[in-house]
Amino acid sequence: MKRIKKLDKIKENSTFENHFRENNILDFKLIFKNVSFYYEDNQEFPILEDINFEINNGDFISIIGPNGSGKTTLAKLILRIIKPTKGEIYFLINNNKYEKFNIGYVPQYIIFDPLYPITPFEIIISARLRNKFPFFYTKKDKEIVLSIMDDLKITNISNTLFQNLSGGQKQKVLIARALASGSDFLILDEPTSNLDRETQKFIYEKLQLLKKDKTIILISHDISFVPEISTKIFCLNRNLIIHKNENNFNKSIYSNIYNCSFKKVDHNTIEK
Amino acid sequence: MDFINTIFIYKFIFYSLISLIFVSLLSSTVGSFIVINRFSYIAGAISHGLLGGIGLFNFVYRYTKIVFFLPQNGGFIFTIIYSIIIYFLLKNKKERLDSILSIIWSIGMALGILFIYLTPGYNQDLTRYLFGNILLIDLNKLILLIFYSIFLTILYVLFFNVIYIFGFDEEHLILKNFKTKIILFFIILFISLTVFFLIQIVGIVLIIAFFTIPTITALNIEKKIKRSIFISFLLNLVSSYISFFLSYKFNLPLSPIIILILSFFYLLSLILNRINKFNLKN
Repeated sequence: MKRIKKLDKIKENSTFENHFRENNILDFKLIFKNVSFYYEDNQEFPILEDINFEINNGDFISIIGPNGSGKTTLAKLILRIIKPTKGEIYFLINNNKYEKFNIGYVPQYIIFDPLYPITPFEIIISARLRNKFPFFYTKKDKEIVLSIMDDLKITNISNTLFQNLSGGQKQKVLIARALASGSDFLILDEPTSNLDRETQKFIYEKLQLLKKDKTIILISHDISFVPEISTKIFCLNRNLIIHKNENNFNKSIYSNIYNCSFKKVDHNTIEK
Repeated sequence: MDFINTIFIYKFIFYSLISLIFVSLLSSTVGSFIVINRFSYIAGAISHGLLGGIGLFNFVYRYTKIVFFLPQNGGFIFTIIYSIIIYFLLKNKKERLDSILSIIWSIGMALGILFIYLTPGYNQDLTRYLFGNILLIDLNKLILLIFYSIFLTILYVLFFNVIYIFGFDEEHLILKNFKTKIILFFIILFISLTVFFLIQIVGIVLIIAFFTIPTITALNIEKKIKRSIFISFLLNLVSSYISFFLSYKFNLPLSPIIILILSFFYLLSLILNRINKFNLKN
């Protein structure tokens, strides 16, 4: 078996505009092979059990499932924040195995000191931090961050302290940080949970645009938006069932099979 | 004029005035980090815990006269031991950190007091560690202080972006392939070493004030971290020099005067903050 290497070489040379084409990565896959995960103190009830799937370059995956079904755990496994108890997870790039990949990540929430003196600009630019001495930001980094802030319409709060922002603004800052990493692979963990309908639509429109040249994993309860933009839908409840997104899917079938209590809201009717 | 003449007549006054610049540098850079990460209790525990090592080595040195057992070596060894203990506590997050720190704090003090009692004669060294005396700094210590503080400041500038984000969102650094455990270890190590260096000058009792008051005052004035570090450096320097002059004029111990002047500035910043908020409302 081939040894799993790190992706450092690719990361170093990559620039913001496009990772893949510059480094001639023709195909890229994320593979889960018989992955299980459980916490040490609770071995009888695995969080995830025997999961197998493949994600290809250009996919838009939505993960849905009830609370406690392991959606966030799955994301953290991909990010290597935690390691699987059984099985293996790797990226296949030009037929080479890699353990890690530069991924833009929007966490569901972050635990932080509410009095920490930090501004959105400083948080977003931290996505440009490279593991390479010295750890300074370049002029280009600042330009990228400013253009992303402009894009998400948060330029006006760039110098406000993070603690003074509203929940929605915080969420936008975290989304901006994921985008600023310049990665072509994004994982968004319930990015719209704190946002009002108007901003939700705004974010989904942004995702619609990003979809063209990025691989995206979206964890969301929002059944009214999810089917429109996804290429595949993963239903997660310890085990995983993959659905190719067809045009004639039926929302009620989804909620029945997985015992998920989705809000059946049709946002078109609300707007009217 | 009299004061300025004295500076050039007595070398030790000149040395201590120079040393105050570098003490301010250390207390504003390391202090800012301690304050925003809420590590001041760690600094307190290490500084008080060190008294145990100093007392133990002082006791052994009196009887054996082996150079290795000079009190400052004891302090140094205990610094390393404490920083390793605290590193593992912070890393595993399983024990209650503040309780363990209290244990370190009280064991250190207990050992220190016990050995001061057991060691014959007047322990001038130990009282110097407790309350410190900037006037007693000699040329060797001054040079060491200058090198250490410049070294640490350069390190702080180079790694600033990393440790600033480390305090806010550690997970983000893990994603960026940083070895966060190594970063944590060096942070704790350098906090402990700085404490060890500074207690020989400002004393165990007053060191936490040196770390916290200037930074917290600066954060009241300026919310942006880089500027606030600079402001805290200036505050430190200005209040040190004012206190030096006052202590010379009225023949008072220096360290307590510095703390009182710093606290005065803190109060002032609080009042200014209130007035600012009041003005904004109207």
